[in-house]
Amino acid sequence: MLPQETPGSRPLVVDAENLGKSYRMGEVPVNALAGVNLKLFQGEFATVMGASGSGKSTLLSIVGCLDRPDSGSYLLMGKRVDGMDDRDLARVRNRNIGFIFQTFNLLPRATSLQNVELPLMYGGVPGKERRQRALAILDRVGLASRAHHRPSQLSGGERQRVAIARALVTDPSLLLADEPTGNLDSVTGRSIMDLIRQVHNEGNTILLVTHDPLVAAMGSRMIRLGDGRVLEDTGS
Amino acid sequence: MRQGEIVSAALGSLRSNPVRSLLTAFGVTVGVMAVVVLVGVVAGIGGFVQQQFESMLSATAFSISRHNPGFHDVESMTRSRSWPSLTYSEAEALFEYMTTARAVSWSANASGTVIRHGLSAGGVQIQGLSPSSEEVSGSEITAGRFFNWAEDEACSRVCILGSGVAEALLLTRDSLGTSVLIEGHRFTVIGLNKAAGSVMGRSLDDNVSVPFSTFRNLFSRPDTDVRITVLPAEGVGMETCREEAVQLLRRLRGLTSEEDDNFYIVTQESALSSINELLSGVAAVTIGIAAISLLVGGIGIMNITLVSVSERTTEIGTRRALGATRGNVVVQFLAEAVMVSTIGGLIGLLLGILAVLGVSRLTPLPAAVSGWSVVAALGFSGIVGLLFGVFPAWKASRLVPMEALRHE
Ligand SMILES: Nc1ncnc2c1ncn2[C@@H]1O[C@H](COP(=O)(O)OP(=O)(O)OP(=O)(O)O)[C@@H](O)[C@H]1O
Ligand SMILES: [Mg+2]
Repeated sequence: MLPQETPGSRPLVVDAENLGKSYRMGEVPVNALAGVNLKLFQGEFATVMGASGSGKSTLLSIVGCLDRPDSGSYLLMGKRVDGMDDRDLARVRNRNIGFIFQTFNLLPRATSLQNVELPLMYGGVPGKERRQRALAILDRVGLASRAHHRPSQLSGGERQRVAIARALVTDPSLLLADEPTGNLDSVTGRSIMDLIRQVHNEGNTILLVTHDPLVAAMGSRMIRLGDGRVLEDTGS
Repeated sequence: MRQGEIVSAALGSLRSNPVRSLLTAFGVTVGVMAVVVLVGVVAGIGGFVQQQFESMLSATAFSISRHNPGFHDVESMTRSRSWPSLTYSEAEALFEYMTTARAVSWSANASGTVIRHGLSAGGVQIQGLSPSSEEVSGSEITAGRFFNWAEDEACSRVCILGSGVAEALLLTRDSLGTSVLIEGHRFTVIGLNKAAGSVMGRSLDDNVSVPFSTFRNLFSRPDTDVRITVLPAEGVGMETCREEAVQLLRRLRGLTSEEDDNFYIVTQESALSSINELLSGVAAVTIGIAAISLLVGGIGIMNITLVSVSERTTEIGTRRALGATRGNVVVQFLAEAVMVSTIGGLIGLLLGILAVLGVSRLTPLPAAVSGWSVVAALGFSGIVGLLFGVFPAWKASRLVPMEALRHE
């Protein structure tokens, strides 16, 4: 274990213990997560691998406060999240978490700029500041010239860049990405991974799900899931 | 989230599928249109009749007529058709014998053309008035004078022009004494009537008045109805005076005590109340039609909003992931429902106004769009959107963000 990754020297972003989540498929309950422990320190870039159905997306959704665990405890930036009500969870997602999806999930009728402004809008940031911040971050991902394009006018790689800009615009404590290169060709995927690595180098904490070992190798730590359990974790 | 953003988010499904949205709001469109048209036409007719009554009959007088002006059931209309017309001699008898009346006047109408120096006014109402009419009717003379009994007796060819006719013939107050041709007969103009304006686009000033006897000689036809108006004497109640007139007329007509009156006594009050009765009946029907179409429209709105929610489940999930609260989602879809419904209502309002304009242009029926029906129509369509949008919006807000994102 590297010294800079101890709790003493870096704050803990994610501190989850014994997370359980099951879904009912008719009569049979499916244990998507069966006692997962996860500690993520600030500045870490952890990747999650595992077979299809092993619980990767489920884990990400709970860490991202998109769903509640059935059991276990979860502290995000030192704050208990598992008991929060819906409104507080929305605020946590808005302020502390940035999501990057496999399918980009841009609003189709909104321009890049409007898409990037969306989280700031829900956060109550006034219009002028919102615009400035969104334009600045679009510039940072190299898409200043595409600010007024709609998703249908952008390439896949450009769409994902807009989505990354949208995830970063609130300056979140944690960036979650579920197969961000899954819908891209390998060249474009590599350039997106370069961007994510750059984002990591700027000090962001990242948890990234992937099926691609090359992508997984770019992280500073790799977690392997199987049947809702952690099979391997190179970081702890 | 700000108003503008709520609106632009709500416009989402409208922009993505305007035709579908508007077809769904069709029920609201029809409902609003029905209200605007019915209220417009009925209120227009009501207002027209009411104003005519008020200008024709003062509140203290009553008139005797074969027709009961206003709106009636078919039965009373067919019944009165078999009644004898009121005649000039009946009018004269009432004039001679009534003791409780301050004035008894009689009149009859025909239609014709008035010509002067090659200028002509067509479709003019020619009114034969007894000289006693001046006291009873509400119309005022602005220049010249009313005709007197001597002129009536002599069947003098003197006339008083309504302001519309005077204008058409380029006659002013300086033209008194000039002569005009009424249906080819030469008349001397002795007076001009004050402009009474128009009711619902129809002028009340396109008329010319002549002494009754003159009218009887020149313009009357056998079936011309005489209308008798009675003004009770000072200190005599309307009831007493009316009873005397009824009894007198029954005796003149030789009605036995078993037979009903074969004429109507019309007071301003009775005329207005029969109009109001009809109007409130129509209002009830209108409310019924509106309620049904708005209900149908509301279900359409609910349907389109549910479709919109399910089509945009991923969008809902994405918005929630980015920090939208349940409240934000509710507001977005409620605003969408209200907007679709209100736009449906606006289209209905527009079509309704066009229909009302068409009716007043193409038919003799007066019609006008009343302000409150516009407000009510739009208010109701908004409320329909709100009521029927609540369920889909609530449904959208209950989605677990993760489930919404998993949605294909
Ligand atoms: N809403 C749901 N209802 C029923 N079962 C579910 C639901 N969501 C997830 N599951 C089940 O939970 C298990 C874990 O799902 P999850 O999506 O986390 O897998 P994953 O590791 O992300 O797989 P993949 O690599 O294919 O994306 C799977 O067996 C899945 O079928
Ligand atoms: Mg997955």
